[in-house]
Amino acid sequence: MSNFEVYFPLAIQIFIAVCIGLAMFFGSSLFGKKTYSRVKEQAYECGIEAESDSRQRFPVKFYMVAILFIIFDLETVFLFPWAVNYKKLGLFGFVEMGVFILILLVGYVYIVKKGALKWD
Amino acid sequence: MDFPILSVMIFTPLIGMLIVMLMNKEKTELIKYTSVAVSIIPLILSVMLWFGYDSSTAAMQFTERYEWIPTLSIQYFLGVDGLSVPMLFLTALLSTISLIVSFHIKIRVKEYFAFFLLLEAGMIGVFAALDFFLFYVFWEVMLVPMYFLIGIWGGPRKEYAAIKFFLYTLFGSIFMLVGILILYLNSSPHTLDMMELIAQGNQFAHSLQILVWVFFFLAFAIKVPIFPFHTWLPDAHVEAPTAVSIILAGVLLKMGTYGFLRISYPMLPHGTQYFAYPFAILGVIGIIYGALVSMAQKDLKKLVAYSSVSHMGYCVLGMAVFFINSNGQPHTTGLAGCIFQMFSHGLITGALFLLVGVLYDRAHTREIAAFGGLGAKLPLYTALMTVFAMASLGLPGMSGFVAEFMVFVGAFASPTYQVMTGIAVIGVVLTAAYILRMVQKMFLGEFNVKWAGLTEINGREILAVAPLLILTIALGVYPKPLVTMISATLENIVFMVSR
Amino acid sequence: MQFGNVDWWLLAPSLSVCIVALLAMLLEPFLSEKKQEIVGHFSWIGLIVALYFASQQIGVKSSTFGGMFLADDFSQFFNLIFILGAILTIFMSIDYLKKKDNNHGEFYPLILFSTDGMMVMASTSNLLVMFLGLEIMSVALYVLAGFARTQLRSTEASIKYFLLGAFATGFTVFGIAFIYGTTGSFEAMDVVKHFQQGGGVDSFLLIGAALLIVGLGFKIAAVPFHMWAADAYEGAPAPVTGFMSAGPKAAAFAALLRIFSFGFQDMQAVLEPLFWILAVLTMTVGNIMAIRQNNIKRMLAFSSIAHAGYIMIALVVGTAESASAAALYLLCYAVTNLGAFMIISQIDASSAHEEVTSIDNYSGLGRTKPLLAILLTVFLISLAGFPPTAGFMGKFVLFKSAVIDGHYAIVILAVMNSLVSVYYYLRVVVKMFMSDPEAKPVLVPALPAFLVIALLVAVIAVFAIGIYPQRWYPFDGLTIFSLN
Repeated sequence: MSNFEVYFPLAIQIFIAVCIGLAMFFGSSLFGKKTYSRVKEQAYECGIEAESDSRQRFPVKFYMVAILFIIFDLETVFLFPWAVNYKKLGLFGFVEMGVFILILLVGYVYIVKKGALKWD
Repeated sequence: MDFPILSVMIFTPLIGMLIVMLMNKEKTELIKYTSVAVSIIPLILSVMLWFGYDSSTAAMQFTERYEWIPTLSIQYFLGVDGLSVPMLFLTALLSTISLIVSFHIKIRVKEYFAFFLLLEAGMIGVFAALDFFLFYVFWEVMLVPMYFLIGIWGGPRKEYAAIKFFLYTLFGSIFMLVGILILYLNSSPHTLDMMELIAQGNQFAHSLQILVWVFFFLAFAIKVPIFPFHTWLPDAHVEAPTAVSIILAGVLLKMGTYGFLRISYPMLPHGTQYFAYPFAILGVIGIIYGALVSMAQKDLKKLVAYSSVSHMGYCVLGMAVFFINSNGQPHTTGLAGCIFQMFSHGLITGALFLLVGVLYDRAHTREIAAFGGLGAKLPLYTALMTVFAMASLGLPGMSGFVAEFMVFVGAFASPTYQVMTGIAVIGVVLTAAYILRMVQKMFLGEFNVKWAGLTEINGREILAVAPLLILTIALGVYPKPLVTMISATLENIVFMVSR
Repeated sequence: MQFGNVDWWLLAPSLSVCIVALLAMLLEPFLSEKKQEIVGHFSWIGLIVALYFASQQIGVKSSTFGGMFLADDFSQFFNLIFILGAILTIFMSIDYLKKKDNNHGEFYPLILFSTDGMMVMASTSNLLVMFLGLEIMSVALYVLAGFARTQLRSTEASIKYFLLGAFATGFTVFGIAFIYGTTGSFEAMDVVKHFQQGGGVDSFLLIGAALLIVGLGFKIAAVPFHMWAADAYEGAPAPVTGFMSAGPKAAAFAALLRIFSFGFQDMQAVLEPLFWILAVLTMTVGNIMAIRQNNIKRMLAFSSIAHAGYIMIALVVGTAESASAAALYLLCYAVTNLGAFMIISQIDASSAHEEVTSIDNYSGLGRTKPLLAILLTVFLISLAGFPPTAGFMGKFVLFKSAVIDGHYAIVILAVMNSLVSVYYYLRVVVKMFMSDPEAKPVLVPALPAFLVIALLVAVIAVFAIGIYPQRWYPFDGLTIFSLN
């Protein structure tokens, strides 16, 4: 039960924080002055008026490139820890990293052959 | 014995089924004759079994025992005693007869005969198995072809009847499975060998015995069927094709009573003693209720179906009466009556369903009121029907009389059951009433000209019914062979159950 | 084979599946649209190689990667289920995809990746590695569920499966974190050590266990975490549905059994009531919902939930014997259900762009296609648990292990449930044999050769396990490596 004792203050803090948030939220709607007008109903009261629906169609190509970028970018992240102590990991580490890059290469070849990187 | 007679009996129909399945489905005649030929092999073997059986001892004979799944202590263990030999003979005989009767089947002939042979294998297996697992496997395997036989070739409400039959029986058998597992668990060493479990029967705790007895009761009572569990029977019987009705009444119902005597009685002696009295009450209710409902039936087949409920009630009453009298002799008359009734009901009701089917094939109706004065038009048919109707109501000189007489004598010998016996005798009067009413309405009186075109029972049908006729009368006049066959086994059962 | 302190020989089965998957993926873009099935052939041949490696390892008891990767009876038996399931799925897919106008070779590497994930899951008692396997398996499955891209239902299945699956993954990770917090290790078997060193039923350990049950309960579709199952099973292409009900379910159960029956064995008393309630709920809800379904895939989805409920009895009992009974049950269920889905795929393949999976489509099949109808009947009867089929043997062994441990009530509830299940399995049989064919019967295509092989394997397996299980499976109880 010691765990609960340790975390008890934290729980109280969370509780108070939630209470304050809820109090502000409901307090403003309870005590605030309410005015309605056409301008107020707009999505942006100040700023540029919305011209059309924000959920527009856009070419899937952007999405494709973005996701591929993330995949191959992560490669670098995995290379860092290996680079830091590659001496300690020795040949085994080198081979393992080689396999890792080989797997990515398979993916790359697949992407290229499928034409995912072709813009038109 | 070196020749594995029981295995051959089980596997011949199975091989026959495979042969039939491989045949050209256009050659219906060939399929029919092959099936009958195949089914004659177990029949011959069962006769050999009867004559080769040593009835002076209650020990299992013709045993075959092989390891099957050793780590689950499951064996392939077959054997027969005085209880199973008559049942095996009855099964083989009725199977052959039913196959002969089935010649009028026109649709999907190949599947029909294949299913029928599978059914025969399952039934023989149930009566020959001495390992619980094997018993359960055969018990369930039998259900599937039965379901299809009713469901495909049955009457107008066949689907409903088939699924009702299936679910009712399955409901009972899953409880049996749990019961089997509980017995397995409580036996030491753990075993599924029925003989071993019987030997350990008196060591099971009393509360356990009562629990397991109830589980087994559900399984077997639904099969018999004992009074509140009988509602599947009229539906299944009415919708089933003739041959299936014969098997249902002749063999399947007997599996319930066989189960009680083979399993519940010797394995759970305390449970049996504990429930003997309510058991007898259910038997008497069955007798009276079945007879009363039969009286109200307009459909001939339904009448025969409900009469089965009544007749199996005698079995239950006879079964409930067992004790060891003051000079150490087991009182087996009631049990003997029960077995006699099982055998004779198989013959008589099988024949009655067969004859109902014969009429239905020609007239396409089974309504009793629609007929009248058939005696003049169909003398031979009328004679046969009347003989079996008389056998059914227990006319002396027929096997039914011997059976009912033994049940009553057996039950009356025990002071506890005298009142009940008295009530049960009313059942005989009621039986006479509905049987005679049926005979009178259908065969006597004014001839209904609508039926002028009806043809007499043909040679094939006479061939099918003849063995039943001969056996019914033979056993009625000279019941000794069957009585000798079962006596040693029954004495053993009474000793076992009185432990 | 040693290299860098790793026994590569132990990894051979799962590694070979992985390599075949990568090569298959590489092969796919080099083939024209018409030749995509070559990827399929390449994949099943690769799986047979993996099966060979797996069979060579039977009897080996060892571990590698510092104890994170195990080879024991348990993993070997489950590997057999996974590889067999994958091979049968590929056999039924090759022609199905062509007929459904959806012949994309990516299908096969996805199946292989998923299989590899399952093999990893069953071959470890390290929660983190298990999680890795779970994700490899699941991500491939999310894609597979939506493989029929043009079908709205398939997309829906994929999205639902993915969103709820990702949610459940969160629970799993959270649970692992709690367990790590208590025992200071990712090793499930270290929970045993925790108790040996005098640790009690820590509340955090309990929370961890509960969260793991939620996460893995989602994968086996235990009630109340089953909401995705019906839609995902119904929408996914028929072979994928069959695959999903065989492999991934077995893999999730392998993980559950390893964690709870072995790792958390000292907490069995606390967890037992929880599993009891979950098991009973799962089997009952699954069966009752299945009764009303008119789509055969949806019906089998609910039946699959019900079967998960039966298998959960092994978790209630928690003995090594019940764990091996569950393993046998999973094998039986896998071959039976895959067999059923082979027939369903074949019927479904009668239209290129429409789903032919309504139970009404099966009317009169007994007359138009007797062989298919008889085989489907055999599989359905096995699912219902009738002797002498595999389904019965699975149930018998499982219920026996429960009764021996004194769990009567749940066994009675389970058998009552299997009685209910007979009703809806037989409904299909009734349709096939006892109804007349529809006015416009479905035009079932001729049986392709690979489907014939797959059907043969399935039907032989159903009867072989049902009649003579001794040959296929030692019942003495699967042993878990780390305990010995």
